[in-house]
Amino acid sequence: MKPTADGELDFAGTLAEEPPGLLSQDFLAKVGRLDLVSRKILQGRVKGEKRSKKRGRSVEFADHRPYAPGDDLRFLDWNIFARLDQLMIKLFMEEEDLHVYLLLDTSASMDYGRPNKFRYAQKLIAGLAYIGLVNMNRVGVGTFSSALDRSLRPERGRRNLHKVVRFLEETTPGGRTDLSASCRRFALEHPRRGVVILISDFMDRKGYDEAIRYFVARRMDVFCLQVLSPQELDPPLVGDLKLIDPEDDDATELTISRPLLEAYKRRLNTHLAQLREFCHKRGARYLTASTELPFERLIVDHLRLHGLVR
Amino acid sequence: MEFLVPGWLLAAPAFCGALVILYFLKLKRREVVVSSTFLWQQAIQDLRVNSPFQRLRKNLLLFLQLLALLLLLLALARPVGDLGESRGADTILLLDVSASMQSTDGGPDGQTRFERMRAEAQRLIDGLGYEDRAALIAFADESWPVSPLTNSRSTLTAALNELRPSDRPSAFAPAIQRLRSQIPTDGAPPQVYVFSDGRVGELSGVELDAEVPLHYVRLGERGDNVGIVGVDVRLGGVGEGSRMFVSVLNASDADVSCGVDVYLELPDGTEELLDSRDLDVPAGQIAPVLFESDLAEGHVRVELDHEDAFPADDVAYALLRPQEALRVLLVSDGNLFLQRAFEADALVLKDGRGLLPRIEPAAFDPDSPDLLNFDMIVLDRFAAERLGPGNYLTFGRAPPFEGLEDKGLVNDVRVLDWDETHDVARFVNFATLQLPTARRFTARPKDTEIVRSDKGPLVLLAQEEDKLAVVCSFDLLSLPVEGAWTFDPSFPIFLANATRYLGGAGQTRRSLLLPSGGVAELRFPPGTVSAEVTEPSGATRTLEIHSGDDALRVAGLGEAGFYQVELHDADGALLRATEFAVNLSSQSESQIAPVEELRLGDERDPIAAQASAEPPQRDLWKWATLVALALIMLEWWVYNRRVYL
Repeated sequence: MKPTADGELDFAGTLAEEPPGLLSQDFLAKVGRLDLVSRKILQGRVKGEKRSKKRGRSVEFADHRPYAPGDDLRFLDWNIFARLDQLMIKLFMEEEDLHVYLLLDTSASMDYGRPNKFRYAQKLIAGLAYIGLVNMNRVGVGTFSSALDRSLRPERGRRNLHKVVRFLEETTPGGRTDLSASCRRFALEHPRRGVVILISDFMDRKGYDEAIRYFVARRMDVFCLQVLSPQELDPPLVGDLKLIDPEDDDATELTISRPLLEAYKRRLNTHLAQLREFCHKRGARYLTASTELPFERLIVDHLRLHGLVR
Repeated sequence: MEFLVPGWLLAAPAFCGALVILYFLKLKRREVVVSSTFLWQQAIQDLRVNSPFQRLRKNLLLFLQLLALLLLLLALARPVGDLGESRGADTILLLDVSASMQSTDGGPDGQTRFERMRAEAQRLIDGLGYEDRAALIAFADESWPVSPLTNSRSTLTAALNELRPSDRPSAFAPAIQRLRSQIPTDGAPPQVYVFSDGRVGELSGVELDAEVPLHYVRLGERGDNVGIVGVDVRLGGVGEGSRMFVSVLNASDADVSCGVDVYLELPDGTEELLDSRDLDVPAGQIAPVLFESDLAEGHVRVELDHEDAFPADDVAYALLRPQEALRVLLVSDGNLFLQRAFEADALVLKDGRGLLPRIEPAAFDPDSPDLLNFDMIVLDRFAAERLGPGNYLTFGRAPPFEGLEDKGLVNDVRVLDWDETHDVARFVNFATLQLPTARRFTARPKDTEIVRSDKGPLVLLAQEEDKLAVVCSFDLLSLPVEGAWTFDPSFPIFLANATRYLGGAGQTRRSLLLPSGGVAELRFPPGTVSAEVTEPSGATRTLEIHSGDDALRVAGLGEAGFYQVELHDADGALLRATEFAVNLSSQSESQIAPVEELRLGDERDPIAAQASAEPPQRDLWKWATLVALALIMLEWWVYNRRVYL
């Protein structure tokens, strides 16, 4: 991207330029038939529409296991006992509801770019929440910066959409990023396994490793959605500048030339590749999204391609 | 290296300090908020790690700026210096040894220009590299090689030490001509250094290729000089005294009063003051002074009583010698005109009765040794079959010279013209010469026609081996009685001219006083085969005289003073001894003020004088500016690429 005609270089705090409203009727109509999918069989709190790894009392047989004192004798497989003279308990698939946790990075670095990263992430959260709610999944939302700021208890049903939207609209960007502390806190508060969709720019000096590890360790189905603005992917900066980090007010004086821009892009690509590789190694899914891409297309095309929705 | 405006260098610390202060002022950078700076910091780190100059990075720009500033200050200080041009090239030194180089304003303690020139040339020779070659050429009114092109410094030094100043005037054309012959047609032209005061005569028409680097080392400082620029002696008749004219030039800017003393050199080597005059010479003017003396013989030295930088022209020499009577023999069967005219000439030797010696044609014996005693033999209407060595004046018949033919009598001969500048025809009016008859001679190409008529030469000068003759084709006795030329005043004048010319009296007078650098032409008696010339310094040289030589020519008169010449025959016996005086007497040499620039031809720019033999001082500010500009460009490049450094 080239600098604008008037030499504008500052793309921070552009949230106010974004039009109000997170979801449009067109979008709601497009995604009405989509559903969120987990690559893992997850347990839910009540019987739901998703198969759970939790063996339960449904009609679909799952497996056997040796009898242990205390087991419900009603599930003893007497046929096995007759043939093998061993007490085996029949295990059945239990259908449960899917927990979907939507985590939004609200640090100051998200309020950047044109289109604005934060607004883009808000729309993504709202859209994904809508898909989850209409498909009777339990959708919980959390926002974080240096810590877990706010969270919305997992709810299900379309009627809770307005809660989510209001929750999101009441959220403003600001503060430093601490992915590790925030995610740890969220994982502790939400022990139920489910799909964790982490939407952030992952611009955390302390790294993202621990944050993802907390969810992976709890066997969450983690989806890292990295949102970047075009101004971060191809900075329109040139000349003698003093770059300010909005999170910690760190000032970096430099002279931006072509070699430096190339070095920046190399470093950015390395950063993205490392995050992708880290996620893949740990069974997490990863996607980079430029805010230039309309978020509807991201959900309908790209997230479907990555198996998050179907 | 020297600086014409060194003040800028003194200001360098202030400028550099100001630059350093400016450098430490922080650049006002535009603040831009980005999402995060940690990727930028990593990118900078990447560049720094990959840069081989990271230690220099912080100071490189300052260093370059300081260097450029210093170079600009250096340029403002106008450095001048030697770019080493003379290295590796041949060098030719043109050394002026003319009289004006004896001026004592060459340096401190009365060092002459010549001595200073030798020191400067020596310094240049000492500064030559081992591969460099040099040649020495000396010049005054002519030029001669002193040392060929060589890289031997000892040879050059020895040749330089043997060089002596002369009393000659100077001319640059011969030096440039010799120089041109030493310049190779291909390859680099040699560096040419002219050591001179610039008083080198006329320079218009002296051309030298503009590509030949010419440096003019000016010698001398002063121009105030008073000198003798002319001496002439008029000898009286036989037994009379003499008169001496002396011209004194005041080449200074102020009027000068000085004494002019005339000394007579005595045989014992001492001198006697003959006369002394006070003379006022206005600035830039020439004042004459006349000395009259009863003295008819002697060596006279004229000296100016005046202190100036050029003593060589304060002295002049003159030789007083009584005129010797000329011995004339008339071979005629009787010619009263000739008899009376010669007897009336005071310079012609007569017998005790005052009569001119005469013999009948029948008594003429060309082999008689007595004839050698006569300075001139007059053959009146006598066609001798053979002539011995000697000088002849013939009337009405041609001498028996091969190729000079007598075609017989012609009538009604009319004079057309005559050579008024010839010594024989001076002050003679041939227009009154009426000739009913004359003989028609066919002149040879080598003969000189003095008087021409419509029928052929009337008077001509002919020579054959050791015989010289003024031949008149007319017979004096055949002239008409009324209005005859023999009654005209021109007739005795013509005879006197011919007698003095053939007898050598005129030449003798002229040859007594000669300018330095000139050539003495001396007549010699028959039988002379060699001449020994003793110069004023005492040095002697021997000259050979060959058969057919019409005169003895003594060249190389580089020293002012008295020259003695002894003429010897084949047996070594002394036939005659003669003397002449040589004087500087040159107005151009007495103008000793050194010239500030040499102008050679139209193609070259004037060559400015330089005070010493240093290679030319080149203005170096352009180079300093160019380097500074290059540094500024480098600094700009580094500034734009400094993330690399």
